[in-house]
Amino acid sequence: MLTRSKIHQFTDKIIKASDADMTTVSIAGEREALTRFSNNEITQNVDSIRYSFTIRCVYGNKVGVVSGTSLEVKNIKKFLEIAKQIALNQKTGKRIFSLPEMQQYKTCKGFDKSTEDITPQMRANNVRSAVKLCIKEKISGAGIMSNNVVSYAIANSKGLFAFNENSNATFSITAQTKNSSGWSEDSQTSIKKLNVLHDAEIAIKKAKMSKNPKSIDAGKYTVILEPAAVADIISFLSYTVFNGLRYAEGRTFLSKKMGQRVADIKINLYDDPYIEGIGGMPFDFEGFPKKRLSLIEKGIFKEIPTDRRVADMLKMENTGHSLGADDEYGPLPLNLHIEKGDKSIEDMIKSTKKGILVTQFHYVNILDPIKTLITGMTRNGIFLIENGSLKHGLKNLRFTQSIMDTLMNVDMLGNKILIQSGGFGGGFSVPAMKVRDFHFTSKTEF
Amino acid sequence: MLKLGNLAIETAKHYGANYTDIRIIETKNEDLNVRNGKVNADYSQSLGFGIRVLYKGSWGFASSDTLSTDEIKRIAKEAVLIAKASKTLQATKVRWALENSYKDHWFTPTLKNPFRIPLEKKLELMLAIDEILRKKPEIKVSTVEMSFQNIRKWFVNSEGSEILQDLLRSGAGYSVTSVGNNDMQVRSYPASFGGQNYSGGYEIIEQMELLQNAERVRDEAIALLTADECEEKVSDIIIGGSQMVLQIHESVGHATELDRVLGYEANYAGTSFATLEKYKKFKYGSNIVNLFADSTIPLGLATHGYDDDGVKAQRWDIVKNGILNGYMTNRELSHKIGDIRSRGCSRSQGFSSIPIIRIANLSLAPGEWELDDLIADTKNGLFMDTNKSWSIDQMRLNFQFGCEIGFEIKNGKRGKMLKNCSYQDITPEFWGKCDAICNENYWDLWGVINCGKGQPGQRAEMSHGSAPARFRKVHIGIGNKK
Repeated sequence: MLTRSKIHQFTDKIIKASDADMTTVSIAGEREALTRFSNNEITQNVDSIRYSFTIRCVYGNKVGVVSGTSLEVKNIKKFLEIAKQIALNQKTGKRIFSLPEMQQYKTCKGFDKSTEDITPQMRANNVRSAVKLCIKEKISGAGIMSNNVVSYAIANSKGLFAFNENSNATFSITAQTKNSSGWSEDSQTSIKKLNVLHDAEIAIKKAKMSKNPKSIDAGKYTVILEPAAVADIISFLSYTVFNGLRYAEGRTFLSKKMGQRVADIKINLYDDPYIEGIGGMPFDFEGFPKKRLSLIEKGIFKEIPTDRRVADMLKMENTGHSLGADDEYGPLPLNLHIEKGDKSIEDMIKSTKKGILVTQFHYVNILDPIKTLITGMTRNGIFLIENGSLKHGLKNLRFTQSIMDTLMNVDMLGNKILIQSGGFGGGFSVPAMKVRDFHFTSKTEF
Repeated sequence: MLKLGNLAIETAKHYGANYTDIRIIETKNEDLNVRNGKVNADYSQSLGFGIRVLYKGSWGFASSDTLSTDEIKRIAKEAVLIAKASKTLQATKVRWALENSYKDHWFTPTLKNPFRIPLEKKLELMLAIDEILRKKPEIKVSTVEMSFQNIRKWFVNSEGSEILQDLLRSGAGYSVTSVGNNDMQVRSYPASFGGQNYSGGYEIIEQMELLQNAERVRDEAIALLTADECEEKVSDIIIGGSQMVLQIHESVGHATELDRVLGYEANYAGTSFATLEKYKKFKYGSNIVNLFADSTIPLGLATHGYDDDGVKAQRWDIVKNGILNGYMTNRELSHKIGDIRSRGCSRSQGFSSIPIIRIANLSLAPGEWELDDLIADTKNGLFMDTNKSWSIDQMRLNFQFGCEIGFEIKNGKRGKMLKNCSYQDITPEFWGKCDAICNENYWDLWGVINCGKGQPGQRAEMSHGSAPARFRKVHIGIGNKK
């Protein structure tokens, strides 16, 4: 990947070549190497490096935006000319905010050089060790081993330059028998922290435990959601519930509820890009420093992310959550973190008379953003709990449930946190949850 | 470009590759967006190449966005190195289906190149729509979009194919969000999530009647705020064409991708219930259900001359008279269903992505009904249209889809408007409940531009054709009051 100074040289050249009143350049880079396996053999093996740049030119109150992939200076004049034509060919202008000057940023810990340098053979060796275990247990394994680096830089004609780099190594495995499956995944900043065999063992154990699953009627149940299942639900909070623009326009569950109780008292929810491994950036997509937000504290709705426009609408400060100077979607919390509790998953199971343990969800989607109603399926390991112990695997179920009701019905929080990077500033950090009255609305055939 | 392509092939062969292909892809996009009167205009252009090799039956793929002879040599060598690593965990060699070699230049039939239409003309139409949409205070957000894409793709392989394709896509649409009565509702036109998209030029936009429908769409969004909610119950339903697209895509398209069927997507997108023992036997739907795949159909987003394996475009049956009759296949896996030739469904998002099996243009053949007759023939039921949300299990059985708008059908007549309409069922049971499909006068092709699959994730585009269709006794209004 290109170094910070090389990227800075490129942005400087663009800004110098531009005759716009204001010029902003952003450069996103990604190295993505991934080995994919299924049916216990490698089926796909790829490595790509790609860059994309975006140039935003402001002429008066009109804006032209162009983007491309080739970081060759000889192409820049052409792109700048197109941006100028786009801007000058508009009849109507819009409100333009001034560009931020050079800023001071905190540091996000999320890069490990050795992870960038993993070879295809090293990935294949890791996959082979997991597959060996699958073959020994007469299990069909499918999954990925990947190493990625993402970098993002933003510079402008007021002298701002910001650069961030995150690395990520992921091993993910689905273990399958004829009628059951189990799954485990680990994602770390450094390859050194991955334990491939441990994940394979978990997935295999779940697949074996859930063999010959039984059917259960749809209805309301106490559920124990493992961290991956919590993440599948919580991710929807970001763009629906805590979208600053939607909040300002009265389009979210939280509109007019600041200071009110919206979740169980045990819930402390933050937007925190500074947690190691969460993949965060210390600045937003305009270059403003990103503030850590207390979204919910002890169940009370406290803060909402803003950019300059939303801050203006709400008469609040800019928290540094812009998705870009011309963004129309709204500022989002990209690094949701729920503070952990003090219970292990075993504690949760022991305390449950009748309930369901969920490993992960599949294809979750929003039905009603105001009610925060979502639907999705369970996947890769769902178990009946009776009288404090796991009884047997269950056939998968569909849930239709409000996210905010889920947070209001939390009985216990797990004592371990799952941290996952989502790329280009996104990611989450969540514990397991025990939740009462979780609504499963239909079942499926496996 | 062909010289660079042949350099890749020679280099990979030098390092031991038994098969090589290279795709050099130049993509241009123009994305225009007007939100609440504010204009965003983006132009983007990318150029790069991806080299895929087979080394002793194992895959390797590498790509770069720097197009030079040195970089092509480096990436070709890298792809072979990756294939050699793949070889260390490969029980069976890849069997590569036969295909002729082609020397061809294929392009999307186009009347008006959208990149040559002046920006002011496009924005003028968008701003006129925006003005109508925002005329009433209940409308808090109006978004009008237009997008155009031109892909220039050179494909060269070690079997002698040299193919250049110029693919053009044009699309437009708008949506409004109304707020009031403690509620928020959305209406879109011609379709949700990116509007309507076809392969072709600006002439397509001119035929969409965008301006003519703006007032109706705005007023429907406002009316939904005070409309009754769709009750949870079992009901007969008629699904409109734009929602049928999603139904076809999720419950037939993905279910018949052969890589999913064989477990290649087990860790991510999922597998499929439509397994090989069901091929040419399984009752997928009622006798009137006929679904065909067609990579040659005019206006389709997956319409092309050749796929990314260099296979010529074809048409074939997926479900015939209700029976599972075909799969989406590529050159690697077609032999698994006994075919000596691929159906040509191998596509990638761009130069930096490896080709994988993607849904082709897949359509439900029209039936014989007039829509008015179909409604008159439905004693009590619900008509619903325009997708709002979607979810389906990883074997493509249990689905639950939501629509933007619904209308009650009472004693064979269209009644009051209903909001928050959804329906849930199990795929083959649902298609088995299909007892009427409208005729070709109501049939249209609808574009999907956001289909995700694969690890690393890739996006693909395809179209689905359908007319409104009726399904008996379906669970509707899930999660709403009874």
